[in-house]
Amino acid sequence: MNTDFYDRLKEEGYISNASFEKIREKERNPLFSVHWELKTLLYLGVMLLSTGLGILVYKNIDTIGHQVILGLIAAICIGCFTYCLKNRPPFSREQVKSPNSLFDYFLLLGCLSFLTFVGYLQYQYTVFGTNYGMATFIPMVVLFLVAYEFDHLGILSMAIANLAIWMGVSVTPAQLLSSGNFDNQKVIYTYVLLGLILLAAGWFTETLNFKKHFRFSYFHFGIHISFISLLFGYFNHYDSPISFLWLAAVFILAYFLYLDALKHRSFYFLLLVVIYTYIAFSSLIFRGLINIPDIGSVYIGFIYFIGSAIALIRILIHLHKKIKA
Amino acid sequence: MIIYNKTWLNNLELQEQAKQMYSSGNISKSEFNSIEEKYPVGFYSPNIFIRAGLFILTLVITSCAGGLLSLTLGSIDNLITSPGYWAFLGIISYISLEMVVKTMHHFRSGVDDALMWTAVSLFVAAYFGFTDNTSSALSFEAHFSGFAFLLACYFTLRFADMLMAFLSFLFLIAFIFFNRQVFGVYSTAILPFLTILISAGVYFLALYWNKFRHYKNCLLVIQVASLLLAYAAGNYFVVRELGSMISDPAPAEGQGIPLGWFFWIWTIALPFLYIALGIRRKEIVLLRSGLILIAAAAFTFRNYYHLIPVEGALCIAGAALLTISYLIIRYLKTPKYGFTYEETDQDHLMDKIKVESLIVGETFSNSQPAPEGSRMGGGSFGGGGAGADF
Repeated sequence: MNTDFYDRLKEEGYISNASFEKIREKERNPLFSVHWELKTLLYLGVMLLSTGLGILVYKNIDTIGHQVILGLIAAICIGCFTYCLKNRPPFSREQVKSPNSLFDYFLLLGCLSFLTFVGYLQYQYTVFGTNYGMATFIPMVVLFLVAYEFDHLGILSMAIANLAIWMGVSVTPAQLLSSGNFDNQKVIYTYVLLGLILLAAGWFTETLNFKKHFRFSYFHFGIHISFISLLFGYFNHYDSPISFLWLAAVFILAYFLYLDALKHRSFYFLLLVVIYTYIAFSSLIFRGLINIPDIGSVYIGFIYFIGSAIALIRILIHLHKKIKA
Repeated sequence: MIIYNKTWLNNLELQEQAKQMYSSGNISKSEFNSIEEKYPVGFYSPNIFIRAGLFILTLVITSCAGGLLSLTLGSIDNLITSPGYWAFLGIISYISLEMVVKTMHHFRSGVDDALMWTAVSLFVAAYFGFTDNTSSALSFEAHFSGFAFLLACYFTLRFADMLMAFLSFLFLIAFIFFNRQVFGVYSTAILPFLTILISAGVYFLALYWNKFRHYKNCLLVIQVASLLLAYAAGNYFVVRELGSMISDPAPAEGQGIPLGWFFWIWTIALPFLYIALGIRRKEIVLLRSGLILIAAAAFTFRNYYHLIPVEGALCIAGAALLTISYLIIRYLKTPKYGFTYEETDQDHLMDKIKVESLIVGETFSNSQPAPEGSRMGGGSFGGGGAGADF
């Protein structure tokens, strides 16, 4: 802490005596926060314990009685939820600050053990029969309920992932790119639908004024999924004239999201929109250039990228100033 | 040496302090604004998202500009494959970097990051090219690590970049590692101690250098790196496995190493020492390094002594971690001895993108029981298309 700095500020009259006293007081009793250390420990604890339990179940599935394992998992699950119900803040349509991180992570552990529990039930006793839709539908509904009831963003992300599983795909962006199977048109339509549902959900949270801060999670997943699936739709239909419809959809969506990002002053969403639009636009240019059977097209391609990137940098800097203002 | 306007750097630091005071409610908004006006900062440093975007776009520009130039010059014999040409491109990138920083006042804007890394990689490529066919007594790694160290040092001093600072420390250690034969026959035996001594020296030097405030972040990175490396150099696993890799005859399976007791004590005790010192001195660097290293110590121990199967260990460790943090949180409900569990100041930007929820979502949504035979299966995706765009 730079003490002289505040002395100087006070002499020059930039801060009032009251503020100066407050700063002095703070300097006399510095507090050292171990908030993030403890949070990380909690996170690791939950991760290790749930992974350990998962392996335990998997390995001992034949030796220990099923009831014992199920009972153990149910006990952890019930214990966590009991703690959370006892310490929960009252429900509100607005953002509710959780009492402490302990609460957050016990809730998380409860949800994870619940998922293990349901998965185990289905595996061992096939309670849902071959109705896999039902087996994934129930955890999803529970997760959404918990996320809304206890106001937990992490569980909301899990619920969104489960929604995707229920719809027959998997959702985390990393998986989407590494193992997405986009050659199936049905899958692309599912993805588009999912993306639009998420965007709509994000939009509704705001217009209905119901848990407005959940909008970020819905939009985060919604934007990635919609754009990626629309672009893959375009490449999938590359040879047919319909492909341009897909591309048009990208631009229309980008336009609305651009307005939305400006309205909410969100740099992150703005960046996503700009980058996905750039990919779409460049693929269109490329498509034109590839048809020119001449070395000149390569030069044009390079020049296009240099020029467009410079233009985009200017646009980004301009938008940055516009949002900040 | 540093390229940035020093008054602005000082003002930036003052502004950051004032911002902390403002967000913790100690000064009012108007006071904060007047401080901002009094100590202006003229840098262009956008937030992390714009920075990432500018970084990508600048890389697009540099690679396309390089491609265009090479295409035009491609007809000249052996020009674009010669290392001199790469060095030439590197110098161009470096000059544009200096220009962007000096005339447009970019400061961690993404543009300068991209140009810096382009220049560095081109210089490294040129070095590879130049030394490719010259035979010398030294092995390639031995002199390359020296070159990389000097290069990273230069960029650290000139641009106060944290990653460069980290690399310069790493290459210093690599340089010593690859040139160990100068220490004679016992080089392998003294290598761990030498590395520990040098890391400790660098750590204390970094503490001492803290008076160079413009390099505050770089020094912080170096502190963390030297603490971790000092541990790694004496870690039983590292000493045994690395030692058996570079010396013959290698110790047989299950056979110990000389001074094994010393390395075991180092492996187990050092993390706790770090934590204890961190708590006593209230130093976040020591505390966090210690916490990370406990995990390393646990893995090292498990590697040689399998007391319980892995799932049992995971369950016990997880339960223990939860209990410990539960107890500490309960204990610190009211701040004690200057420690608190409350967040003292929140990082607003990170709060805005809700990193925590995304991490939870990413790591935990894969572990669920996948539905058998998802309803819309399909072959694997071939990978055409999107890659071509950038």
